[in-house]
Amino acid sequence: MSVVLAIDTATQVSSVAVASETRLFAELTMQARLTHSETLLPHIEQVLKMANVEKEDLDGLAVSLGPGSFTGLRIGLAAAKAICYALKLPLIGVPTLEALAWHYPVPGVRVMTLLDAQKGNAYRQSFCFQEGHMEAMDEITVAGLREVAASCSEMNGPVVLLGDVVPKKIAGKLELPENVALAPPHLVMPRAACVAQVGLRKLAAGEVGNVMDMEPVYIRRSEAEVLWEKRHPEAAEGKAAEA
Amino acid sequence: MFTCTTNSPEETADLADKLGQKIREGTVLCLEGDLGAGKTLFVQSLARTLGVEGEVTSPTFNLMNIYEGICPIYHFDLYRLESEEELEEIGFYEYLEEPEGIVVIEWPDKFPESMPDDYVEVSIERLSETGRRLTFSSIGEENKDFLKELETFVSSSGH
Repeated sequence: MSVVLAIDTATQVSSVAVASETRLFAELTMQARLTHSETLLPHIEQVLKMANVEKEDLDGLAVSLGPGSFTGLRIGLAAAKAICYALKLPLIGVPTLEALAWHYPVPGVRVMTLLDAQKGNAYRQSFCFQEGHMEAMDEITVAGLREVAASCSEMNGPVVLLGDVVPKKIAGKLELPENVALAPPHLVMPRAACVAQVGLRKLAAGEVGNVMDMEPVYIRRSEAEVLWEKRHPEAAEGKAAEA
Repeated sequence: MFTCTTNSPEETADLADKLGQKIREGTVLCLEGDLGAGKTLFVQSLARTLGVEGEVTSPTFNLMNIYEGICPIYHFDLYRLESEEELEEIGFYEYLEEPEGIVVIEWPDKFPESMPDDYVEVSIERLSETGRRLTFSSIGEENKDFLKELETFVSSSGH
């Protein structure tokens, strides 16, 4: 049995958990006005204490890698790296949307995960629980919320939407197709317990990252590059010539 | 849109105080004006009115300051930034949509395309050593009523 510490600070929720393959020992999940940088480390200390797990007894640390809030992801990963470096622990990077989808390990349900990418957009990826695994049905993209809602009507069977944009920008604000349901408040946001579940599977499979070069997943970076190239066509051409 | 003329730094600060009394959470405020026009003074006075007790200075090098007043105030200075990518990396767009805070942006004209659809613009022009002309405008629909309310409030107080 392995015991991991899991962290998710990809959204306004700050969540820390200690879990094994068979048990969630403790979890602290909160969404308040305090910033992650002030609360994360005290919460880690508190959760370890509640779980009655010594930090030396951990077998790994799973951290939510994104996409999500740039600031939030950096705080989570910086803390995770420092802890792994000091304790010589395996660092496990967990895709934020995959972990979020674990709120619905239900066969036959399309789980549409959506996290705020600002300006009416969301980072989106959909999943389906199949044979004990959360299968990604498509790639992560940045899409407009209307476009996402419309695309759900083309999916067969029930679709559930979850992620921070659901309460913020979808519930009561967008018209939705009949086959679409919205996750309730306790299932709509990322939680470290889900990050731990994915992290434990990765740890067992040997999918462990490196403290020195693991980076958050910033999806919109490419978009910014496209914008930059539009404004600096000469430089972009130079880059293409190099390639 | 409305304009006010001030004859001293104190009068300019008083206008910022008036704005602070009326501004709502979730508002983005863009502050234009040349070096020395009084943008920092304006933000300082606004922040005092919003209950900030600590030091308020332009975040030219650290790019963003957060002040805790009656709500969080996110103070950006884009003067030193060179690419839009940097803006994204500091989480600029995340703060712009923060409904519980007030965002103040100095040098918004460096990245006009990155500004939100709705914001309040204050432009400070230098008329003389101490005289300034301040122009308040609402960009987008959301702040139109707020701007009218502010204009009435400011003119009733003698500006």
